[in-house]
Amino acid sequence: MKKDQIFAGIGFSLIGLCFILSLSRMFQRISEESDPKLTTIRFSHWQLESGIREGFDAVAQEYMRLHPNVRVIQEPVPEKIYTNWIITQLVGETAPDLVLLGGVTDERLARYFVPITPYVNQSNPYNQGTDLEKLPWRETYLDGMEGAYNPNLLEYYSAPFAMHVIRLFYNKELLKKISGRDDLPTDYDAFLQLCHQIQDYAQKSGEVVIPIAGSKYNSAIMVGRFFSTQTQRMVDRPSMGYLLRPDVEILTPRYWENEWSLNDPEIRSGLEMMHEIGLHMQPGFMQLQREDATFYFVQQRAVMIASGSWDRSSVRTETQGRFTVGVCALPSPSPASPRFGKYVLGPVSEASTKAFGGFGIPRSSKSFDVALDFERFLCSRIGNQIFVNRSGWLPAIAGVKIPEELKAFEPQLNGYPEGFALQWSPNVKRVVENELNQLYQVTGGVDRFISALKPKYAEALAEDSRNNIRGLLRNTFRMETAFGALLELQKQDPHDSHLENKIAEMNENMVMAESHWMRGQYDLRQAGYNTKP
Amino acid sequence: MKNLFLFLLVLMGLFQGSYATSLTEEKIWNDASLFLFNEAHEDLKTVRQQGRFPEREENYIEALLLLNVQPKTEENIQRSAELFRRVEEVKGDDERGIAAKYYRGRIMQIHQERPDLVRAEKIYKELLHDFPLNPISQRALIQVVLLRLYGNLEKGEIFHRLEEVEELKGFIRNPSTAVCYHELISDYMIRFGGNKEVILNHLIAAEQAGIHSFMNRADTYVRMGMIARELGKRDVSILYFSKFLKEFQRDARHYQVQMILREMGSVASK
Amino acid sequence: MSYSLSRKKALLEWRLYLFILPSILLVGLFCYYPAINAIYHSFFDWQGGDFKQFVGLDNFRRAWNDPTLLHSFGTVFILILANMVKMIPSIFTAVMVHRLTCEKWQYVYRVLLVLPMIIPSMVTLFIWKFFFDPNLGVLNHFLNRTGLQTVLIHLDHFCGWGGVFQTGVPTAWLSTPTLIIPSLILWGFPWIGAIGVLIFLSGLQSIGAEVYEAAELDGVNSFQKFLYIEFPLLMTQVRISLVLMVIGTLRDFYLQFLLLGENGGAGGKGMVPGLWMYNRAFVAGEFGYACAIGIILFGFILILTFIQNKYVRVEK
Repeated sequence: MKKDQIFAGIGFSLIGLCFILSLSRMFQRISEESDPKLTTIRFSHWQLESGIREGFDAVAQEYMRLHPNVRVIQEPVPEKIYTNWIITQLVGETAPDLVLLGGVTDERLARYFVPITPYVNQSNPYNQGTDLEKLPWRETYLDGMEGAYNPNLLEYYSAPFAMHVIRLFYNKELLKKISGRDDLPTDYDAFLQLCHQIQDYAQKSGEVVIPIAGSKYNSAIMVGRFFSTQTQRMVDRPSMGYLLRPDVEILTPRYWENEWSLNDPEIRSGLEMMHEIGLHMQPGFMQLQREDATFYFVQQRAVMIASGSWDRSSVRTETQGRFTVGVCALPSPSPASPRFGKYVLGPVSEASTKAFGGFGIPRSSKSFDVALDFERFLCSRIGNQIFVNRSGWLPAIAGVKIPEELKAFEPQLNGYPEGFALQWSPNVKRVVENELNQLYQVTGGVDRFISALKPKYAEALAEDSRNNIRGLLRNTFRMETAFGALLELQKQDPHDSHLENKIAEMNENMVMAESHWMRGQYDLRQAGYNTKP
Repeated sequence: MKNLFLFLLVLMGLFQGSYATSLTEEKIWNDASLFLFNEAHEDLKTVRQQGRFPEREENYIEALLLLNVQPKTEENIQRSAELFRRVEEVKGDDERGIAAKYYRGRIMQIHQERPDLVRAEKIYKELLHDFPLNPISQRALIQVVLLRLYGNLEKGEIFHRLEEVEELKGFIRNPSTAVCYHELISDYMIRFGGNKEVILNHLIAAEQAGIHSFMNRADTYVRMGMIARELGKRDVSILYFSKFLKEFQRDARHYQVQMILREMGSVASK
Repeated sequence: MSYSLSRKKALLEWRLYLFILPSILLVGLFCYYPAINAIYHSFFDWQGGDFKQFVGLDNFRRAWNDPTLLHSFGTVFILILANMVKMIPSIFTAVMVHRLTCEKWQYVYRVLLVLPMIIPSMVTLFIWKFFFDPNLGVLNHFLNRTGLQTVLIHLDHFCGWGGVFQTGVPTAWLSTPTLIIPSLILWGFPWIGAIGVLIFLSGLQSIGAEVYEAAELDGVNSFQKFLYIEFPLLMTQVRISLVLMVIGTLRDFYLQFLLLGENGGAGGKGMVPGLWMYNRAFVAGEFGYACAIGIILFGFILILTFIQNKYVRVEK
């Protein structure tokens, strides 16, 4: 036999082998799924961080133990291709029975998923024997399931299973070595003092170490929080609508009307904080990405890094064996602080932290009841406890015990709402981000930043306002027909209370959206801008 | 071969037929209520071939769907207006006729390329005059309020506009309209400035009528508490702040409201 | 010369057309359909979902008055000029490889030039991103080690660049507005593009030996050989490279996107039309407007290519 023929033979054999293997796998699956005694459900997600798959697996195992006639299969898909993959599956009606919702538009939600609103208003059978047993499923959530509610479609499409908060991760050994401390201060001034101490240490010792690992992503998380402590009191001004929370539709015209400006002492103070903190990150951090900042932290070139609790397991894995990672809440200036306390109400509340995640059930699912039942189990106290214990993520369900190592991530409920940030919509965010270098440069500062931003800021607000009112008009259009349809459905079932509530709510939303659209047009006109792009 | 082809054709026809019979008006409305307008419109076309709906009903459904069939074009909108006109022409004083007239007003107000606010308002007023108790006329009332408050609003007219809507209050016949009416006016007055006492009264009226949207309700409670506090109405402020605390335990403002109540010396803060 | 082909002749081997059918279908599906779709959607107010409203030429009118888009064309114009200059090293490299008398070494150099092509372009970009890192990057290390940083600091003081180079502060190449365009130009140094060199080499190889012999008899030196023989005879290849470069520079934005982010970096200095199109679509959610920008870009490229073909003539 010739050499070429041997190679060709090996090649063909390999292809044949692969084909037979995939064929057998397919038949195995078909036979399993056609077993009348066994119901197979599949769930897909993109949470590939360490611990999460194990968490889901533990829940699935327990569920299968309780229901021996059900098989639960987990299908993790990389985040980068998840959205495209799921759209293809939905269109082809081959989607798993439970799909972790992410990047799914309202239209796709309505088209491909079953609303679970009637079920969230019933009690969760897996909460039986607990104090949650008589409560509607919705009420068993720490956030009252607000995070899962779709205000445009006026329905719930998924039941979330976790929560996330922002924290400071720090290198315990490095901190101890430099400052003699075991943990980070909770007060902003003391925190800044610590940053100076780390910088002094680096200068004296010649060691390459900076206080905070920064990147465009990580710095935004941190300085955004600091800035918004300074605008807390501004939000409480009577001209801001008596809402005790920032409202973009009020803030924007108020800026044009000079009710507030970039030169207000509160804004300047917030910017001053950003400038100070920026100086304690590596120079030029605004050109760096999230992974660059993590690299700095893991390489022990930075004592701290700010990120979300979603990064906990990854940070832990990457630093394992190198150093111990401490976790604490972001420090905040106390109202007594001589420099930054003047405009502060108090520590920022995390009470509004919304539950995260949640699997939607596609209309194509052949096992809707089982899929819903599994979701109920995952989002019951017992199921959520199993998930939390194994995944290291925070629970979404009330009464689930937070493991000791997660205590630092427990949301701080006693606090005040955040003030507003300077950037809240795409164009404003763009112009602010483009000028941030003026703030963070050593030679830069608040004045330079403001003078660079000011000429562009009002126009960017106008552009976003125009987009916002276009969105409001679109919603009004859509709701017009949908509302008419709901009224027709109600005629067929006049006693459906869910429908009745939905109609009343849509009516209110529709009227308010239209009024905000009309007011937005007035505001733009008065400020001298076009109402159309 | 020819037989096989014929067989396939028959099979396809059967399939199509069985799909069409499974379609009901409920399915069309259900799709439309979920914003699936194009699907609903396609379903309507299939049903139309069967001649299962009376023409007037068909016209009404199509006209309503055409307002949102994508892409949204002026031709669709004009066709929708024409279909609504036909529905109204057959009988103008039944449910369908009244609704058709209302939607013609809406087309003039927001859907058509060049809105005609004057004619839209005229239509709403006619509805309000002819059928004051009808729920659709109540929606027309809210549209009049919207037009009077914000239609081509200029800076000098802000307070004059408020006077114009006060007189419409007497036409309110259902709680849902009351909520929208009072919310619109209070929101307008908060934005442009106005007598706080009046604002508070509107907010109280809206709350008493029963606000369904929980986001609106939370904001309304906070506004009532804040304005009442500013007016020195301690009891009113405490009442609504306490309602807020009870209903919205996971709201970011919860702690702040607790602190405000504590400042006011209320027991509800505990 | 044109041939008239009778229908009968054209259909003689009709089965052969079936072989190109898959390619035509795929090209149609993946190239023409999206392009036609983009033209269609450029006339709509469209956010990427189902809802779309016909707005006629509004998107194009808006683009005409969009200062960011106009500015981005300015930026891309500078980059095109820079890229023209950046073609020179490729031409010189090709000439030098061509002039190597030893065929074996010629082959080695060609292989060395082609080898980097197997590295995915993303990897190259990330390497360059790291290269510009203010703290760990090679560029700042190089400047510090060679003392060039001190020269730049003095130049900064002397020319009044606003303190972009300072003592003891690492230069933030990609987050300082005035350094963004220089950084984009510096990218790819020493600017020897493998494809460019190979195109020029193929052109050089078509020059007959008799031309060189005649020139040698006339006593021309090396530089004169380049100036009077090689460069004029390379003009066809230069024109192709020029067209490809202009199209590429106008259309591509992945370099700016990866190095500077979706907003075009500090001061928006790195914003190019393609990136603005991406920004409008995926950041602002204005897909209809983004389609209109794409169509404008397409028209612009078409016009430039036409001008180049018409005026950058090659004397045969």
